[in-house]
Amino acid sequence: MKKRFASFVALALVCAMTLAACGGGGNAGSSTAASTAAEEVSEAADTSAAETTEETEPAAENENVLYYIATDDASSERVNYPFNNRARFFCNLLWRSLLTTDADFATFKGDLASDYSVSDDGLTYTFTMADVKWSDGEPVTAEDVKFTFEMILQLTSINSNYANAAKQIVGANTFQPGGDLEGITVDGNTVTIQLDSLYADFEKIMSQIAIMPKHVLEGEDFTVFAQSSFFDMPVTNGMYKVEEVVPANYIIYTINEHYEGEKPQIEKIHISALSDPIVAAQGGQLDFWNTNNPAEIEAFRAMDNFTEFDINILYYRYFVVNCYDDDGNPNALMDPKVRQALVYAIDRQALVDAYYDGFGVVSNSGGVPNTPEYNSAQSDMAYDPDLAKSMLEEAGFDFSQTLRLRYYSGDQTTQNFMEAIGAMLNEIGIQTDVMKFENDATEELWTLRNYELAQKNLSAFTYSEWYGEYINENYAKVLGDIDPEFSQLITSYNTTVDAAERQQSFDDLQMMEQEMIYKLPLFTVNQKLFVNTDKIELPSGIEFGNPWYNYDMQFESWSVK
Amino acid sequence: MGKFILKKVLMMIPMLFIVSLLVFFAIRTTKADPVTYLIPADVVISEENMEALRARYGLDAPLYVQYFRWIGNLLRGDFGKSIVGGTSVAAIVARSLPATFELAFGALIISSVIGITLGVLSAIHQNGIIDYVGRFIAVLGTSMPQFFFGIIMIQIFAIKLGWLPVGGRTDPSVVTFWDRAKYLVLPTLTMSIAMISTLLKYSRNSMLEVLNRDYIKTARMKGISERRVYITHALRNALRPVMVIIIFRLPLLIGGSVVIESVFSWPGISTQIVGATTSGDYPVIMVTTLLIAATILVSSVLLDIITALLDPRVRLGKE
Amino acid sequence: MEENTILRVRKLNTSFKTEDGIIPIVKDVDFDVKRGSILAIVGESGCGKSVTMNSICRLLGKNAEIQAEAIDYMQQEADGSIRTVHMKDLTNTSKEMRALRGKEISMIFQDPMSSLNPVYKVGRQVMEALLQHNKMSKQEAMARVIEMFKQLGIPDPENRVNNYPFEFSGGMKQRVVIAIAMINNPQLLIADEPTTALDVTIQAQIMELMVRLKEEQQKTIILITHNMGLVAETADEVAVMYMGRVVETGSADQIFANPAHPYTSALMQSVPVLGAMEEGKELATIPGQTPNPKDVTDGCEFANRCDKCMECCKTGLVGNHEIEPGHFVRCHLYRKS
Repeated sequence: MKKRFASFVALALVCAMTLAACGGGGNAGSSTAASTAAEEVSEAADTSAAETTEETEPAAENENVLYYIATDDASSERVNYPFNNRARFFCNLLWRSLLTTDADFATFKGDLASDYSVSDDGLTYTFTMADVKWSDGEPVTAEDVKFTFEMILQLTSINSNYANAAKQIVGANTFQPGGDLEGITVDGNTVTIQLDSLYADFEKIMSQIAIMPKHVLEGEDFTVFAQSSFFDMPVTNGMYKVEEVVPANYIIYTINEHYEGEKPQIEKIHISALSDPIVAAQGGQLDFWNTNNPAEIEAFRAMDNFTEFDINILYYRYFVVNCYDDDGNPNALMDPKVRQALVYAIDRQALVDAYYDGFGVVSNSGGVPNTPEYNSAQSDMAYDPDLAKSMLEEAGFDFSQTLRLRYYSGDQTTQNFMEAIGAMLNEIGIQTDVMKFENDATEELWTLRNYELAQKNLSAFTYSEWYGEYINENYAKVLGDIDPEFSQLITSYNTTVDAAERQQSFDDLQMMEQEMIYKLPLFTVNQKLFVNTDKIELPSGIEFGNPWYNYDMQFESWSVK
Repeated sequence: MGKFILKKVLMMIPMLFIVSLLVFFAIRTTKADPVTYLIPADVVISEENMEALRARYGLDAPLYVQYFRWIGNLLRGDFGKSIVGGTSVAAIVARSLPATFELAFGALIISSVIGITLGVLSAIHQNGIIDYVGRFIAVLGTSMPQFFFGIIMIQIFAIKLGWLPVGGRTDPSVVTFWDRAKYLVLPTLTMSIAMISTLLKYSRNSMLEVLNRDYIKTARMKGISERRVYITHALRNALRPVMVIIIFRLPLLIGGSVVIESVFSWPGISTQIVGATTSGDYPVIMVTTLLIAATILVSSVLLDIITALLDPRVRLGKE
Repeated sequence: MEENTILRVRKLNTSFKTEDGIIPIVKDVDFDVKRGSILAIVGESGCGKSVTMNSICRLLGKNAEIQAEAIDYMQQEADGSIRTVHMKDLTNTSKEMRALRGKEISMIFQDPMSSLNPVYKVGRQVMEALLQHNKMSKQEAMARVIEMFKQLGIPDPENRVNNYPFEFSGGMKQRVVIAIAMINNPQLLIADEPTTALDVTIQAQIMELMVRLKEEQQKTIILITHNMGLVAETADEVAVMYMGRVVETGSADQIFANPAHPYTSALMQSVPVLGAMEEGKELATIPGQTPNPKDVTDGCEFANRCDKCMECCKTGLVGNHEIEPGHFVRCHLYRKS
């Protein structure tokens, strides 16, 4: 009797503590229902608090430090390697490129280069180096630029955009480590880059490639550069340099005294190893954060001190289609009609409404609806289960087979919509098996290939990146030979410089994609950015761009209130 | 006594060898491939480059060759380098171990002292207030999962009240240990709660059992004070099963608690192990696993020694 | 009250608080113990003999309720005078009680195997009792312990004091327990089934030892047992208990010659005697089972098993009748109408 009473009291207390603690937003990955309930509790708590005080915090002195956390694609063990991407602003503040751009990635101006020009045939780029120093006092030279490109040709882990661009340089194919890249010539502080063939996005790429110091890195083994000790305390040319790295604890950036431009007002950047962005934000350890995870978005919206910003980025969520079975023979998905039917079988609008309301849109090709480049002639391939079923029957689809649906993203939203998709396919009679990949994504996608449809994401810098996937070696393993006209279109898109011609290629590509469905499109999702504007003063009218790429964030105008 | 200890210690060596074999082959026969982990899914890398990378890490040689290379290096003091990060495993262990150790040490001490004290007092004052408090804590600790308790603690003390930090171990302003102490509070508390419950229950039951023994009656019969009965006569007998529990928690000092370190973003060995396991970073996994196995073996020996000290029957070879 | 009574117990009642309520175990127990005699308390297992003694020595737990009209111990002072200690007013762990336990009144328990603390040397355990009640140095104390061991017949005492309990046989262990009990020279020794767990030859040795203590040192011994043979050999006075009540008291001669209570006579008959039984004769047993103390009955506790039960036995209290000088029986059969 007494024992039961004690247990009951314990249970009651546990419930009470849970409710008390859950107020203030759920954690990333919690279901919407739970977080709404938690929100209501926290709202009640907040209103009662607001009744007693006007502000939750008086205008206290904030320390002149911007707080950030290293998670997902960033590391707290050492400074991030800038050649896969710019890792959510981390690398932007440390390394600059020859050019810089604005949030739309449309207009370009010199950064490390004071001036540049492009030849009429579009094959020669000439850059004049500005008077910039490295954080160790040495000047940034044209030699550094050539050195960086030679390095890119040797790196194993590199963004395909940079690699493809570098491969266009004259002499890239015959370049050997330790040798000389013919296509780049250095003359004093002028560097000239000669391309083999036209590369439409070359300027864009020039605004992204981080220039590395030759005087420090000469002789490094670039096959394993990502693990180099250079990143334990790197030499930088950006507004900030690295002051302290305590692995797995924190990394501190401080102002680079050799930076020649307008000095930033924020003294330090503190990057800690906390793993949960919501908890970190609530604890004052995170001042800005970008995400497209609905649960995180909801949690951040619940925090008064954060302001929400939209970021337009090309973030595709789609299915990789494996047209071969485990024995290497073509399977049912080899027939484009089957692939098309599957698109009609999924109610993608419903999924967008459920999970990405307001910042996601159904996509049907590489083009994104509501953008100027979008080809409005293409079909919206709206949900039509009857059509899907009849198409499948016509194509002779074997309904007794099981389609393996796989995914690698670990968040709850992905798991939810994958289950939903599986259920939708079940509705028209297709057997499905939905599961998360057990092993590493790269291995599962391209080596093991034990799936029919694998959900993949692509954060693309340019449309070329999306189209580039179709013709790379990985996709060849799952798609086989693709239509030569299609690959021809892709090549011309990449190499045409004339804007009108380019758009034409793009339009044609979008139409062909709908015919071929080499990738099964789901939706594109924007990023939301949350900034702690109670603490951080942003320059007025600021626009934010893709956080994984380099652009002018006007960071020198950011300040702490 | 000396021979006893020596015998036990020597037995550890062949056991360690067997463990190293198990660790090595068990991990290497799983599918995790560090080379594919290093390459992001969007990057295309040719087969030759993959092979070249594998060769650099010595992953192309047959397994038994790799094993002997590894053991050989180990005995020479070379613990290898992390494939993912490039840092030497020795450095990784050297910087994560103190973090794990200080956390686990605090938790062990606190939980042992509180758990045993409460348990013993509960047994002595059965059905008193202490007994209720003790039972309440026991239920709390056993039924609430550690991560849940940890999250609640963070929500209450770090976020709502703002008294303590939300996670991590240190920040740039820290100079002395005492500056850092506030980071230790919540993780230690969370780690202790679950440990306290078990100890409490065991101490209480053990003490109750001992208090019913005839020699306690004999002791009382001599007219000695109650305090002496409890401390001199009862406690020493009651502690034996409890010691087992404490000693077998020693590996936590080295291996850490995955849950705690994850919830509090504590940069200890567990975090390293988890990261290494996900990425197939063999050198790190193997050394850390071996380390933990060694700690368990040592704990076992330690337990034998302490039991012998506490109980003369064991020491003199009987029972 | 006679002059040489050392312990006087009147209306002792002990009940235990359990989940099922309060259960009386010892009911209205009266007896006197004469100084320098051996009183045997006999009865079946579970009749409350041990609980009675434990109540007197206050060794029961917190769930026991002890009430008595009187528990008086006549303490003999150094100058020869007698001081009455009213034990019923003392609490379990008070200084007065603890001054009595071990010094004036000692108890030894049934199972020597578990009566000693396994982790301490025996010498130390005996010394503890000594040092609790006397101020002396450790060396002196140890010397006394060794002396005691000699007296009790433990061989090689100088070395044996440094042994652990598990290094002793059962009989030797019991001697150690007796050493603990006797080291302070108590006047009253309570032995709770001291030989039940030992084999017969050892049993004889221990009993012989006890008799010696009574005769040579004028100790008073209360012997709790269910072994009638032992009682016959050693006891001066006997008290028979059944279901928490004393049903018959008297001298050993009286009880054996003239067992008045039906239960007592049944007990006598149920003891097998070597050589004195006819072949083929069945062993006499008492019909029925010992009732559960929970089932409180009205009237005589033995009623449902007594072959002489009458209607009046089933209800009401049974009075205590003196059938011979010093021989009391609690039974309606002896009612003087």
